[in-house]
Amino acid sequence: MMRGRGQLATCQSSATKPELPSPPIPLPLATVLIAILLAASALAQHVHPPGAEQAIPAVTAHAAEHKILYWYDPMHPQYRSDKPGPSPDCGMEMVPMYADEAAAQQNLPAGAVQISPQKQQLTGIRTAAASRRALRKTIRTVGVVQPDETRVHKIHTKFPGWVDKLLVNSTGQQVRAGDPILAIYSPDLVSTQTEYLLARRGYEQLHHSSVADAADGSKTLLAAARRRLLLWDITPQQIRDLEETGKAQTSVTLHSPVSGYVTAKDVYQGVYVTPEMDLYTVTDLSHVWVILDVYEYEMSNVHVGTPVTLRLSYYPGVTLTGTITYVYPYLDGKTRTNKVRIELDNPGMRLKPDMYTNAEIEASLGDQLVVPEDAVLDSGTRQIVFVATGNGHFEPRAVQLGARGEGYVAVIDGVKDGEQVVIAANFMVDSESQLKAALRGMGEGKNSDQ
Amino acid sequence: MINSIIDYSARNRFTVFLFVAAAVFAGLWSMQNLPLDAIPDLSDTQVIVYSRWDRSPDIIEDQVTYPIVTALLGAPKVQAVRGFSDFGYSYVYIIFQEGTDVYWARSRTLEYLSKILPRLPEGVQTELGPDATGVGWVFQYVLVDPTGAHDLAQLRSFQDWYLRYYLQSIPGVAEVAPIGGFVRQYQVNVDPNALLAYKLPMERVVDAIRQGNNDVGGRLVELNGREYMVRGRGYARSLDDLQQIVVGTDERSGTPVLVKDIGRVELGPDIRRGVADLDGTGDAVGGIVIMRYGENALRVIEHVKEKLKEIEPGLPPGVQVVTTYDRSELINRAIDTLKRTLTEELIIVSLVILIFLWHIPSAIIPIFTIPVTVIIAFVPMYAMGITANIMSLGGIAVAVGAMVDAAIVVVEQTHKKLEQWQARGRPGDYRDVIINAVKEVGGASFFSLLVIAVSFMPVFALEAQEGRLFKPLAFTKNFSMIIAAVLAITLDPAMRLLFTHMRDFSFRPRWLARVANAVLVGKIHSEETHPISRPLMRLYQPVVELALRYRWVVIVAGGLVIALTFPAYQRLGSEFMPPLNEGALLYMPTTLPGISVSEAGRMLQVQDRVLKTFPEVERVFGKIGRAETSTDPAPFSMVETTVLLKPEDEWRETPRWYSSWAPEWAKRILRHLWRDRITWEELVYGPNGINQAMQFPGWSNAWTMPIKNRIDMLSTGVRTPVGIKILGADLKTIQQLGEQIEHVVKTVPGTTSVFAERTAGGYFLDFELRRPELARYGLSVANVEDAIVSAVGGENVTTTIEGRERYAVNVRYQRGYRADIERLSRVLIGGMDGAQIPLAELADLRLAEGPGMIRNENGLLTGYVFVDMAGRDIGSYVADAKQAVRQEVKLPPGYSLVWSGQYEFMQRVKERLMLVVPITIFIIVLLLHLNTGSWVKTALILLALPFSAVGAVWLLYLLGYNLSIAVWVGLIALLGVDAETGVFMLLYLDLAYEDARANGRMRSWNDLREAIIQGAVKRLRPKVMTVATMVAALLPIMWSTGTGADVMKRIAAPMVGGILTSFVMELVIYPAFYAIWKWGWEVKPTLAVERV
Repeated sequence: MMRGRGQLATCQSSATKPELPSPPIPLPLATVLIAILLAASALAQHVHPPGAEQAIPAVTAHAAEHKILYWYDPMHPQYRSDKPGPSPDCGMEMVPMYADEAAAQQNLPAGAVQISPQKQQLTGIRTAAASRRALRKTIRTVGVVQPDETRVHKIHTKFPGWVDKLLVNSTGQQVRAGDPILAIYSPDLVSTQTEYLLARRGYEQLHHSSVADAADGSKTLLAAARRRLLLWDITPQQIRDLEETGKAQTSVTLHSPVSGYVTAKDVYQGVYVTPEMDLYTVTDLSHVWVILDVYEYEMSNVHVGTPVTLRLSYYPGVTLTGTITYVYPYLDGKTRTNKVRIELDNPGMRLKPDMYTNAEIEASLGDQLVVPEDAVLDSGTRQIVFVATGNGHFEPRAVQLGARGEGYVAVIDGVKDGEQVVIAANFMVDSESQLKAALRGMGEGKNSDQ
Repeated sequence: MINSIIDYSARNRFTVFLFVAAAVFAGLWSMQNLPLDAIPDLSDTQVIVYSRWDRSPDIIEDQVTYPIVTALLGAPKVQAVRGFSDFGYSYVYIIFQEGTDVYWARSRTLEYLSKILPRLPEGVQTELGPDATGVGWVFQYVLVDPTGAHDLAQLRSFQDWYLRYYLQSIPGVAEVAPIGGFVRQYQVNVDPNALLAYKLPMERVVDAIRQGNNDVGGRLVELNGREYMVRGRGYARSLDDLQQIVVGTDERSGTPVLVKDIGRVELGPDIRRGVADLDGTGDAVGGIVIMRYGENALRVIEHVKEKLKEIEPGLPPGVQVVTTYDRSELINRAIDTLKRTLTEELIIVSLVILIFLWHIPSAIIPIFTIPVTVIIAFVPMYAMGITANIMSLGGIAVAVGAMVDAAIVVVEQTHKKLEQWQARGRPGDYRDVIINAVKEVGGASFFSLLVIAVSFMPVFALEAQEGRLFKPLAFTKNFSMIIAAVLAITLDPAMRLLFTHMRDFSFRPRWLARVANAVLVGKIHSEETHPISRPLMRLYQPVVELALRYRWVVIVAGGLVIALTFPAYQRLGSEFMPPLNEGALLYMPTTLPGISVSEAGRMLQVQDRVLKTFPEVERVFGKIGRAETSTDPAPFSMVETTVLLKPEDEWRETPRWYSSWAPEWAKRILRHLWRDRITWEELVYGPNGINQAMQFPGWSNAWTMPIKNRIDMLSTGVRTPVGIKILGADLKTIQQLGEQIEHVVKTVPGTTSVFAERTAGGYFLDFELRRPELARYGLSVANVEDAIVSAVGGENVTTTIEGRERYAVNVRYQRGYRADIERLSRVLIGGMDGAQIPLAELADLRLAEGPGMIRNENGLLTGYVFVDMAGRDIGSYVADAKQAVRQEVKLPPGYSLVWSGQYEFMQRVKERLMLVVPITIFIIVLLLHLNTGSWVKTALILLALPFSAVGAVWLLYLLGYNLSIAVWVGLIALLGVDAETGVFMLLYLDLAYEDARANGRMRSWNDLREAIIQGAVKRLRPKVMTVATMVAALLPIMWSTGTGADVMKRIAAPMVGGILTSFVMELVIYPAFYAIWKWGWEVKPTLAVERV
């Protein structure tokens, strides 16, 4: 016990010295007590100086400057009493207000408080400078990947016929431009081929004819037949083959006009197809659109050219960036959102149509004077920041706030560039300020409007 | 009648002894079984209806508190119904008339509550508070795991589901309230974007989870002659179970959407309304053991400790239970102090008697009577259900000095008579001598003890807390006095005869015979030869002679001394209650309301860390916010940190006025009166004290002690002398009225402070729904509000059942989607056709300030105006203030003012005292007159009152004590003692005077003078003895430094001072008065008549 006290004493300034334990006083001595009691009365004057302090044993040991002015209720500092006792409502003991404390407070401007560096550190008060910076606002939303509408192809035959052979026979299959996709038997085509062959034979016979009309006519006929084949998507190569064989093909292979993926296929082996039927949809996914839903109230900050960051839940860690390329001029009545579009190259086909993406539209709000959002105490009717004016002084300032974004808030009025504002433990600073204001008797107006 | 009792007792000794033995046995049994506590239970008969609902104060007030309060208004014997609505909690205090049985009150409450319960909103949990009060917080602990193997959630789970129930099962424990740590909760954090994408509304998720966690029974199935109980097993028991719950289907692909597809399920903490900390080391899990009303605190704590020891092996590895508050230490210390004081008193009083009588057989009687009286005094205590505590034992301690008086007088008288009998050559049987002697003084001493008992009556007029605090003292003091009075006329004569042997023993061995003679026979010393009374008498004789010569000078001087006391009296401070040093501090700083839990927890830790650096501090248990019990109404802005202090002799030393020069032995004595360790006050308020170190910005400090604080927090009314309650329907109007009243009352002469409560203190984020928008989207208010409830606040949708443990499943948005106002604006509401509309389009989001706590009295919203006044009569002040308010403040219809406050109570006590004190004085006067048969004598005896006031006031002044109720109780006790000493003083003057008169020696001033000197000086011994025993009996109290001593000292101090001065002044002034009176009114007139 003794050793422990010695150690502990080092962190307090008062010196402690070891002392013998005091045994109970022998009883006969008790009778002497009365005498001592009376004899000590003169000396007792030093211990209990008569006067105002007499009423308060708590402060008898205090120096004169630590005089108590009044007592106040810690929970309602406006309530003061000239004597200690229970506080008005919940019965806590009231706390004294000392003269020196009160005097120190009178020298500060309204609402300002002084906090020693040590207490600042203990309380965890931190400050940051108000500064100018580019303020950005992030709108979080979702997008859906869509094929680039300009890169979606439907494949039709231009003649009716029966599908002989399906060369591309599943959706999702990749095709390149010129790849054969199906072979078709079409009586129309056969007859056209035959017509072509006939025209060609006619031409061979007549093109040396001296009758210019006959030569010209056969040439025109041939060209027309050829043109008809070409228009029916018969390739020149196939026409050459036709010419070589001289026989009309019953089954003609059709080729894909574009590269992409088959995203829809409505054609089956042997089916009778007509020109109005969609056979295939081939979509080029190397470049895609992402359509974002933006709510009406957020639209004011979204324009063509606003940068967007996309995150894909399928590929954690991957972010894609783009800019808004188009803002649709109408709302989606069903979801009540305005669609906006961004266009992206899609190397590796990571973006797949109908994929959801999380998007952050980063609207720029321009260069503004900002403070960290944590600095602002907002009671709904008043916005206050505490400015450190040096020397441990903190001063409340009403501020007018502008836009917010990325943890910062623009200050339109109230704080100057470079001023240090409190960003941590400001509840405590505010509380101290209100407490002190109340103690100075100025708090009533302030308290009631808060 | 008294004489016949004495006669009977003397002749039937063994019957008397038998009865006394039986009573002593009963007393010993009562002592063993008496509930022990530090101080009496001061609580009102109060029932708390406690409701929980995570809603803001105004919603709680409207939907919970108001219906409950109105339902309970009509209950019988109800004094007041007060409601408080705070965030998440509603407290309704039903205060019953004093003396109502708690259990009766509780069943009435339940009865009246039953009609309203079904009409409360869904989700409100209403319960009756435990049959305990905050004063029942007898034991507190924290669970720590120094190995770090268990996190706070695990510790809390262990606390909530195991430890708590073990402790709660202990008889006498009403509740074990957990505090701090994290309550584990399954949290389904929904990604609103996923909901949007899958076109699922939030309600679907809530319903799905609610339906995805249940076990059912399908009764029985018979298979092959056996019966099988059918169960459907569907409890969700793990994160995985919850994640697998199907919420809906993807309308595009038709694949099921599981909870895990739309959010994350994780374990997290439930919302926290209280944080605990141990020694500034950060969050801790604590428990508060709350004792049932009227239980034996010490026994309950012992059982708790036993139980803790018992279950120690079963604690999870590494986990320890650390005690942070243990009232048994205080109780034991307090009881020890009182026990030691009582023992010391017995010894001192016995020594005084022994020294003054110098005759062992005579001394044995009072010495034996005191412990017997003390022991028997426990019987009525037990019978009346008074616990043994500082006050009740203090009552006995205060009475010891006086209770022996009767025995002393009886013994002294027999002593004297035997002395005379011996001198006259032993005529007749010594037994008759003794019985006659006892009879001579028996009546007087019996009456004087009765006077002391009667004089204590005003204490019974105290009510409420003061009454509950001091009545036990008054009861026990009077029990002991009455028992002592009865014993004086029964046991004492019986013993007197038993212990009186007039013949010396002579047997061998001689030394044994000598011892036997010394102890059992003794030698009767006359007063004149007695080694102590002789010098005293020699000292006193010249004083009396001088007093008789300068009679008027003496009387005027006496008057002057009394007059000189007035300035000292006026300088005495006053305090509400004397401090009871509990050995622990309660640090109770407050900040503005509205502090967030994380900020609160952080500050709590910082504060505790600083507290722990003080060498006097043993342990710090911080608490901010409330423990989960209805007995804790502390808001989040209030810290209640229990600081256990080391024993006081380990505190730092401080120089005292004697420290520099007094030798060690003298220090040891002086230390008892002027301690040379730093005091509680210095430790807390000193220049380098704790208070100085604990000045944190934003906090106002308050220092109190645990029990005191819990008592202070008990009552909920107005604590100022005057309070004006504004009752009405709208808080804003109430506040405006309050401000007007504040303005008006300020101008009333006498007002020192006036303050109208402001209703601010709560910060709100309001979603003001825009009805046209709702209509446009085809949404109902409920649709949107459900989303606000479940998406923002989170909703406990179901409870998992995992063995003994149960955890809530909470569904809400992922934190990132509700962290700030921007994001809250985007909380999506499922509209028609799967559209998802953000809140911002349906509602205006506004920050606002409003009431953080709402008060409801008797069904109306209430605001208080607190008024303090000084310097004038409170009755006329209130009348003036009422008049001023009536003229200046116009009340809107439906609003009313109620004037209340301590003044009602003070007036009531005053009125009662106005009645009781005159009655008491009248009875005392009557008793005195019965005893003395003369009004002059009665008046003379009452002169003792100012005489004693002198000493009482000066001693209080010297010791620096304030006037408090304890001091007043001491003064009241003094009143009776004064009357008694006065009686004895006069008795012997009278005896001498009558004796002289009877022998015809009253024929001149000289005769009178002789008689007075004879009565005053020759019979000094019994007077000195009674006074010496009384003072000596009180000295151990003044001497003691232990727990509870402070309160007792304040009662004893005026008695010690008063008895001393009244004795000294009576010795000097009574003879002077007596001489003037007898000479002027009796002797001179008779002489004149004779001469004629």
